[in-house]
Amino acid sequence: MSSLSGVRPTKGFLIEMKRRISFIERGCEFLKLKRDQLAKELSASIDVLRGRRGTLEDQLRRIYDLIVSAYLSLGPAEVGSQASSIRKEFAIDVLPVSVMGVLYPRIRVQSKPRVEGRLDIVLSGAAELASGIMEELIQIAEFEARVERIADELGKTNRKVNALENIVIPGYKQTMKFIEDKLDEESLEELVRIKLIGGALARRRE
Amino acid sequence: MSPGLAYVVIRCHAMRAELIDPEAMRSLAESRDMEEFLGLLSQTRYQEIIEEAGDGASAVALERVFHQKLVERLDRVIRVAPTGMAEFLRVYYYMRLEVQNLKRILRGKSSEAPIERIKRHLIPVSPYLSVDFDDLVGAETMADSVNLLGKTVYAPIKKGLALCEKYDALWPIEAWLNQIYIESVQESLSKISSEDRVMVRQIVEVETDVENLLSAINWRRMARKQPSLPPLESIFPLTYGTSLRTIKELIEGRDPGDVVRGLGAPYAEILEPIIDDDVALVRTNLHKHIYEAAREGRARDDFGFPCVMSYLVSCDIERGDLVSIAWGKEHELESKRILKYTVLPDYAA
Repeated sequence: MSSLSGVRPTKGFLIEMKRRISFIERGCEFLKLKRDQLAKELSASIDVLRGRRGTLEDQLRRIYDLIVSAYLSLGPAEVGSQASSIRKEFAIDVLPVSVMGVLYPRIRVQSKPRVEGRLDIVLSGAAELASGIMEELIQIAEFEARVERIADELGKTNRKVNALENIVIPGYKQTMKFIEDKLDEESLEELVRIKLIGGALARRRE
Repeated sequence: MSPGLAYVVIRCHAMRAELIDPEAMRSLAESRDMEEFLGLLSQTRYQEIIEEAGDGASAVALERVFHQKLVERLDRVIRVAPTGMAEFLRVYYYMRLEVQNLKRILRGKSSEAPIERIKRHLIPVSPYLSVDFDDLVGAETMADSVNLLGKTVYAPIKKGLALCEKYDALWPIEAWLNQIYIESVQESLSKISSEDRVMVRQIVEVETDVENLLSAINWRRMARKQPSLPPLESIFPLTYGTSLRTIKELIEGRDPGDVVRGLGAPYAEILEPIIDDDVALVRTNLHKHIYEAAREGRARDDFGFPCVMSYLVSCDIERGDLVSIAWGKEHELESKRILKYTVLPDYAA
């Protein structure tokens, strides 16, 4: 029993082990709660993501079609020139947000480009649609980052719970059993020794 | 001194053989990829300049090549055209290209784009009535560029600057540039005979009206976000076959499909794709209309101005088609999609 080689079979050590195992079991319960909460968050986020992504992909396809027809109709130089007439750029701010210890980015739109009155009709349709879905696109990106990080954290938490439930806690229980057995054995030896000594002393008195 | 009308007509007849015919244009549009497109193109009169552009030519580089070829063809015709005709053609073509360049420069200046980027978008043509393009591009601000044009025919665009600032948009200056161009073309029409004027008017007026209607649809979208519209006369200074009332109806919310159906020929046909929300196809239809008008003119008189005009219209249409095909091939688009927005392949037998 190599894992038990460093174990001191004393009552004090047994009490210390009992204190530790109750702490570990409580931690494991917390981890299980965290795991369940993360799994719930993950499945809700995936549902939202699936629905939104489909709509967004349709809109992106429409924008792509409009841009292609603008290029075919106006030529790359004219499209480039019109696109460069847009003054303000799309500016975003990325802030870290924590949910159950999982950090994910929250994106805030600082400024949006103004496309009105600057583009030809062929391009303005695409630009307006693109400008309209940009915030949605950012939200999806935020959701994707969130899902990715929650899934990662969920995997880690699951591994921790499994390790505690299947390796650490049984190991501690085994050690405790070993110490208890050892202590029982010692107390039995002590009892036998006392009985023998008591018998020897009684014989000497006779 | 010009060698006379007969010479320029014969020259145009001869140079017509250099143009890419509709069948060849269809083959170019249906080529597998950019490599095959360039291979086919090198069998045409574009061989030399394609070689200059190099093997890995991009659609942007090719667009410059196609513009260069157009300008070279315009030069060859205008150099030998009789004085009056040459004057008209210079205004009609050179001024149009110049106006396009001025719009591109002012757009770049308004957004404070880098000088190199603005220059990259310019059509390779020398200034006609404007000052040097490099000076305009190098000016500090858009207002400085506009001021540099103060002693040219484009001086009135200065009046549009205040509106540009008020609406934070470029349309006032672009509307002025369009107006100056169309008025100059109308003025230069006096240099050609009255019969020839009919064909040109047909082209210019329909082009102006269609652009007005497209612009009205654009305004309709903008009106949703910007309730106080400027006076319609400032946005649409010139109208011909369509009235300001029609434009107003379009902006103020009448269904574009209803308006288009109510328009007479040729507008209803040209603008039909608006019903399916394919605005880009309207321009293709407009180019087809111009090509048809030039062809009809030539059918009426193949030994006068219509023959010259038809040749130059064909050169311009060829340039537009090649630009679309080159871009489509570079982006691996389906041939069907490219063919939808090109003109000449439709006339292939």
